[in-house]
Amino acid sequence: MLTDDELSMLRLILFRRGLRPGASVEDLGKACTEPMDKVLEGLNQKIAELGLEVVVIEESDEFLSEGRTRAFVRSKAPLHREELKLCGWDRRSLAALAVVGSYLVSRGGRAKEIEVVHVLKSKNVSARRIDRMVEAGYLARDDGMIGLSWRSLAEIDQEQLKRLFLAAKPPKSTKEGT
Amino acid sequence: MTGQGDSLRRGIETCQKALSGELLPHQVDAWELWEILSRASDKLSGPEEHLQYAMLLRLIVATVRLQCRWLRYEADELYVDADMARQKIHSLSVRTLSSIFVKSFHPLVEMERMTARALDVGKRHWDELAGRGFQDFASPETFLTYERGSEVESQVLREVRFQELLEDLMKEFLSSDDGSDVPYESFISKRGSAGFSEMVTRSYLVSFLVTQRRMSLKANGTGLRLSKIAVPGGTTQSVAVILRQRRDGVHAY
Repeated sequence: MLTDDELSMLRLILFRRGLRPGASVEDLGKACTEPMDKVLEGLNQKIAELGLEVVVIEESDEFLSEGRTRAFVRSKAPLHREELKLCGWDRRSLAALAVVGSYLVSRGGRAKEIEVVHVLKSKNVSARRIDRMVEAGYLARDDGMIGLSWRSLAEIDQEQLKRLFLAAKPPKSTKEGT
Repeated sequence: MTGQGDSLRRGIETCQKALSGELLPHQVDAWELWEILSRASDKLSGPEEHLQYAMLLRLIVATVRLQCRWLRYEADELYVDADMARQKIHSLSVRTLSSIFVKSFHPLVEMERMTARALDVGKRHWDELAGRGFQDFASPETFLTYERGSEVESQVLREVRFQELLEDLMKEFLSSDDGSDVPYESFISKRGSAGFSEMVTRSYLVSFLVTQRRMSLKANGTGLRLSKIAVPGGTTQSVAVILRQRRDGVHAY
């Protein structure tokens, strides 16, 4: 059973206010009567049963600014490919995000836009997808550079992606770049 | 511009190059920039130099922070340089990259707020859509409706009778002389001789036979065709479920 503080925190995070989902940690702190870390830990334990978890990330569109921290609720375990399709993800968007995400994560989260465009084109993915990913909050564009933005930081397990990316071996029978 | 102003400007340009990725962060000597700043601190003249001084100070802080992050990143066991990353992406198929990505992807969960008015508009929209669907096909008055427990319903759905009906229809299908495939519409309408209610009953029964994989339904350019070639796989038993919807006092199945 959720306590009042946990319920209030969950409501603040889940219901969208403004353009971005989630809630700022400052707002959550104001809504809690008990220490926020304790409430967050309790909430995380309880919603884990639903396959969800609360993550707190530093919301920084500019690579160097410290920004504010923001809490989001996300799926605890990665979804299956079929589930993603049912959630409205089409194959091409996912492929574009996979290519850009893998490249940026392996480059420390930031690279020149021209490099990203080149990588996308080498995989036959339209470079216009970058604009859509910027709009959706996955990427941030700044002075010729492309970096991972708030949504990527919240949704992508960067450590895991980097490990899987480095460990992946190209299939011998598959042609390059297909 | 004084020599001091020039050195401040050069410092600013160097930092901006590092921040924009033109230079690698460790190629910038932060101590040297700091010394330029120290030397200039007590000799500033005019608002422009004060502005340059403040900007250089801010950029040095940003560059040092970038150097910190860069050091952490390079010291990471999973450090990949740009060429290596490009090469790796080039060697992997998009499908493999997507599979890898999906394993580390945790979509956000959020709820949209629904106002009472939006809910009402949505409900009316769906009601209108459903109504349009019926009208396009036929007006509700043209449907034959069965009351639950009526004689007609029991004739169709009584368990033994239902199985018999299925078997009879299957026999009829197997004995048809139209080669291996039979046009769906022709079969359910008995080549146009069946009335509407019989046609509905036959299509209802056919759907069970298809579900049980005793016949297969194919779509081609000219329409739907029923095939005698059974779909591979174990046969399944189906249970008839009545779905009833009340629309303006008319029951439709």
